[in-house]
Amino acid sequence: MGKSLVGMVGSGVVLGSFILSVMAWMQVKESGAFEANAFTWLEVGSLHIEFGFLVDELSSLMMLIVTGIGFLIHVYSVGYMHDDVGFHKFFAYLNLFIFSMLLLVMGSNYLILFFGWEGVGLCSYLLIGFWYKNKEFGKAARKAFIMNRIGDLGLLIGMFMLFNEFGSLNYKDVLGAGLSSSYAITCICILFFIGAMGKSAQIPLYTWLPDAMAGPTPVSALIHAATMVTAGIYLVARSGVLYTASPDAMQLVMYVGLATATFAATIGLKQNDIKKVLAYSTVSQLGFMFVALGVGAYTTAMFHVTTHAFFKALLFLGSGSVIHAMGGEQDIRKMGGLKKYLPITHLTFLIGTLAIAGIPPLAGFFSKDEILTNTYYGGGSFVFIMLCITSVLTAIYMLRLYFLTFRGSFRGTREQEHHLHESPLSMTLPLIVLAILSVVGGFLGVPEWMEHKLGLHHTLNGWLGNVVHNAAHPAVTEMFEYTLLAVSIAILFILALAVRTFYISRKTLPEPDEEEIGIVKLLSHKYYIDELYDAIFVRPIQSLGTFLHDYIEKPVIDGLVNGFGRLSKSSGKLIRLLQTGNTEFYLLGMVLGIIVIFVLNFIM
Amino acid sequence: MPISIDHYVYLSTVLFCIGVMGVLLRRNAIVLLMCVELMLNAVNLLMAAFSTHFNDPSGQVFVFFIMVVAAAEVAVGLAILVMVYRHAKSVDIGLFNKLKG
Amino acid sequence: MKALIALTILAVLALFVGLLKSRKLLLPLVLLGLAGVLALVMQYGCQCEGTFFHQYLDESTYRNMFSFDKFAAVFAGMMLVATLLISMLATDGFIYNESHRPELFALMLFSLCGGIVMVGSTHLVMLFLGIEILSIPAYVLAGSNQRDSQSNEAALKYFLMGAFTTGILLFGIALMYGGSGSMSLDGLMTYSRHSEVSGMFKAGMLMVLIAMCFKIGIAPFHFWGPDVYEGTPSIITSYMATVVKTAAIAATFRFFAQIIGHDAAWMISLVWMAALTMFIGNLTATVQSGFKRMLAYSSIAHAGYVLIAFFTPSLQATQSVVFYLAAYTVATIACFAVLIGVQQQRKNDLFESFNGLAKTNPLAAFTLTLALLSLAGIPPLAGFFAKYYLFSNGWAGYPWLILVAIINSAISIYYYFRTIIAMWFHEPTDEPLSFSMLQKVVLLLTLAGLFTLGLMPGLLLDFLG
Repeated sequence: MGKSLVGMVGSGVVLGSFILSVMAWMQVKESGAFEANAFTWLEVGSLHIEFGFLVDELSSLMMLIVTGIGFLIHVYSVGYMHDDVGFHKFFAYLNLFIFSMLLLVMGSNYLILFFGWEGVGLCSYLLIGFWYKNKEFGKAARKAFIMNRIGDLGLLIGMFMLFNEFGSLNYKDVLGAGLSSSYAITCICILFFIGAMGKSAQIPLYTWLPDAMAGPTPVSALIHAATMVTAGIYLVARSGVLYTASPDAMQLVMYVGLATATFAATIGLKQNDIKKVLAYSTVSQLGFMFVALGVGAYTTAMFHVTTHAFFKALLFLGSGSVIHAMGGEQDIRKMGGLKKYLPITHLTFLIGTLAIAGIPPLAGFFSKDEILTNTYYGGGSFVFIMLCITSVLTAIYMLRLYFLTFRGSFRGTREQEHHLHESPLSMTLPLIVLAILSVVGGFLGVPEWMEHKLGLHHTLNGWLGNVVHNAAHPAVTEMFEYTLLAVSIAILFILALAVRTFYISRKTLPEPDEEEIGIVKLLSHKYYIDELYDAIFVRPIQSLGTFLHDYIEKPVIDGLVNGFGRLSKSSGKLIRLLQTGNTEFYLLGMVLGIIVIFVLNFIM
Repeated sequence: MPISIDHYVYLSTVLFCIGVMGVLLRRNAIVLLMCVELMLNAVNLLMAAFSTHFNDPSGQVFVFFIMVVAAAEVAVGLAILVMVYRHAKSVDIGLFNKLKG
Repeated sequence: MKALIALTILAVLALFVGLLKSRKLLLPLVLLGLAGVLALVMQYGCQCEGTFFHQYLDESTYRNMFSFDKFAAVFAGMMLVATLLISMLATDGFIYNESHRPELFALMLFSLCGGIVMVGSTHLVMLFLGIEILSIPAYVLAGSNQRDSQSNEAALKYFLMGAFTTGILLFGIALMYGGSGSMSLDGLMTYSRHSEVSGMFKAGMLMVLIAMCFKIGIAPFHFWGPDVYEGTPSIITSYMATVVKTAAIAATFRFFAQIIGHDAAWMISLVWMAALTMFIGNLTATVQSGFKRMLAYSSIAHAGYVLIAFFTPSLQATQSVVFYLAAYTVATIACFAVLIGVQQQRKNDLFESFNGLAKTNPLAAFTLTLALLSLAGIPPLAGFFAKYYLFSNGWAGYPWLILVAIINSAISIYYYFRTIIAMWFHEPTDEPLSFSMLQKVVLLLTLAGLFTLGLMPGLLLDFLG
């Protein structure tokens, strides 16, 4: 088959499932949730498992995201992967990925969810390691797989406990029952959350996600925006009833989410690889969503999943377009001034940046605003303040990324400059669509105080109300909202100005990896105000980012994972020594074994 | 002193343990085989004793089964030893440790 | 019982075919014969009513010696299918000396008879006879490649340790007999439940159990496993890893679950042995450089998982043992089918020999990948459901053991993936392998089995229910 045919078939199938998802959505809208049982997978004694699907408000929303964004990424891939030898294989994996994700969100019980869950893990392994000739990429793929497996174990044990507790794995039976909080439910929730940590990249199981950008850029977009990482959020939101019954588990979710959001945002400040910045920003944004889940704002979390899918897909695809134009270069220190070469990419990337930074009325503003409001009431002032600071950090690293990439003057080589070109239509079209979605997506969930003014409703809240609903909190005063709005806009403008001054007017570049002293020289003839700003704000945060990356993430988290592997290998080597090959020794070992068993049973 | 069933149990246990020690201490495969035979004969003795004790023939019948099977096992074992000897010119089990790890 | 007689006649026939030197007749005879015996077993198995185990004395239990009940029928069927598939792998040149081919088939069939006797035995005498009928041909089979020093060594080790274990088994049987005055399962069960159990009986039971653990390959009695598996010609290894192991586990389960399944004090040492077995099997498998030895260790680990079912005796536990062994058997045969091809043509079984198999032999690579994924327990393949069912039933017994098992199955991913990575992510270094028609059929059948068992486990479990 020719490449264009493969691309067409690959994308066409996903388009078809998108259309079907829209139809399913309409049907849910008309007549409510519906269940379809393909066949009884298993019926033995008390165990009864249907291979069944449940399409309700929550899953139809996820289906729309998965297939919609998935389709755009497929179209984009036709252009992006055009020269790759593994073009056919790539589309096969991509479709398998979408399939697994759909299985995950459409299943009517936890076992089907687990099927999809594992499938997604496997596909991500195949796709991250797609360019397997590079050893590092293979390593990244394996890391992703192993970290995910650790999470999976949590989910699996949680499922055993759930079955023990309820005698069923069906959503209907488990979530429909009136629940009172108990120790077992807390355990189940925490185990599920461990599963979610793995898939949705939360501390401590998050390091695979930044490494996962080793795969082709459309894959990163797919993993970060539409599939995979949203699985954890979906799991917790789906099990919302369980979590509501367990305040302890919710606290844990909230604090882990908060820690991840802040931690990843600080690391994001110091990254120089365009995709790594975006990767850490995903980790951070996922942290936001978990904070929302932790304060019981389930629909809000889903809202942020939706808007995040729009702008994160946009940003990743945009960065792909940049990398494409730069001939594979990913270091932002070697970019700059791309605005005039890549007008469409620039404009859409700017929209994405503003959306994630939370400029009204773009999508990110509404969902982040809603998370902050819910946190204010549900999480206490400490969490609220930390989250506000993190949103500011988000704006800083995104603006830094934007200015370094698109503004100023070009810093790459001659050939690169010569090679610069706007991407083909198959790549820019998805960008444009996603940019439009990033602009209007927020109106899915306008805040209460705007509802009557705009004549719009918080569509998402009403829509998901049948499945999960937010924990109640007192009505927000208009004053509070206006303050939040005004403050956020003001901060953003100041930041934009500051970042612009820092990186464009003063032409400060992040120092090369080798020489850390350069920055001191540059600082000597600067305004006093800049030095102050630098000393109290930029430097501490940047060094914090470096510190966390070099001293916490690398040795502690990666070390633990690698250590586990090393431990099992070295103990394997040790046990191997027992297998001497000598029959006398074996016989002796057996007799010793018998003696020990007799001693244990008769003397102890 | 009347000889009770316990004496038989002790005797055959001692015989059995001598067989086990022989298996553990010797390296010549044929001697090993003989030690295993000693273990089996200890069992035969015990079986016959119990059979008489319970006044139940099944134990003694079992002894015949054991003897037959042991004969078959020895036949196969000796054939294997001959095959091994042809190859290695020795039946010292310490020499056979190529498969390991 | 008819099936057993038919099988014996088939084995004798195979020997006669050897005398006639009509080699072309041999394989069709064996395959058709096995299929016929399988049909007999299936027919009988479907007639069996209700409970898994016969627990009473009637004509069908042959004076309490042997009971061909549903339990026996299922395992007998499983072993027959495994032997059938393995026979199909026996292509030209699979053994050094072609003229011995009929004898090898005959030995394998005799050994299979022993396996069927084992799974149906309800009396210690029958158990002993079954084990010996199973093992003695297996000793010979292990050394069937006379001119290969590895095969010699394997046969010697297997025989010496096996004979030693026979001694232990018999001494245990004698002590059990001395303690209870009976050798039938019924009598032993009654004794162990009702009266104060004597120390002699307990000691005897432990020794029998230890001997069975040796046959299954439970640590610390597993030492023979890897060495014998590696040295034995691959086709015989696949027989040992599936049929021999299945028979040993089933027979142990019948005796164990019925006699001491309800006495917690006895279990605890076995629980530790199960955990130890999983760790030893999985950890040592991670450091292997040969595929076959890795499979040997992995089969030790799988035996450790199966032990979980022993601690919560119930209908579900019995089903989970059956299902687990079925999934394990299918996947293992698939692995060996590819291994045999690789070994024959590349002359070694290093992981590097599997490089690029996905490009050169897509069917073999695909089947092997799915078989390994199934062994690792990835849905929707048979192994996932087998593990899931086993673990979720075992949760009621010892949750910490389930945790150990889950951690171990995570470790196992590492070594299963090594081969998968070699096949898919490395460039081929050698000529494509050629597989015979029958070998391809085996690959396709096992592939279908992996999916069928995984997606419709009800098919097998309903039959058992």
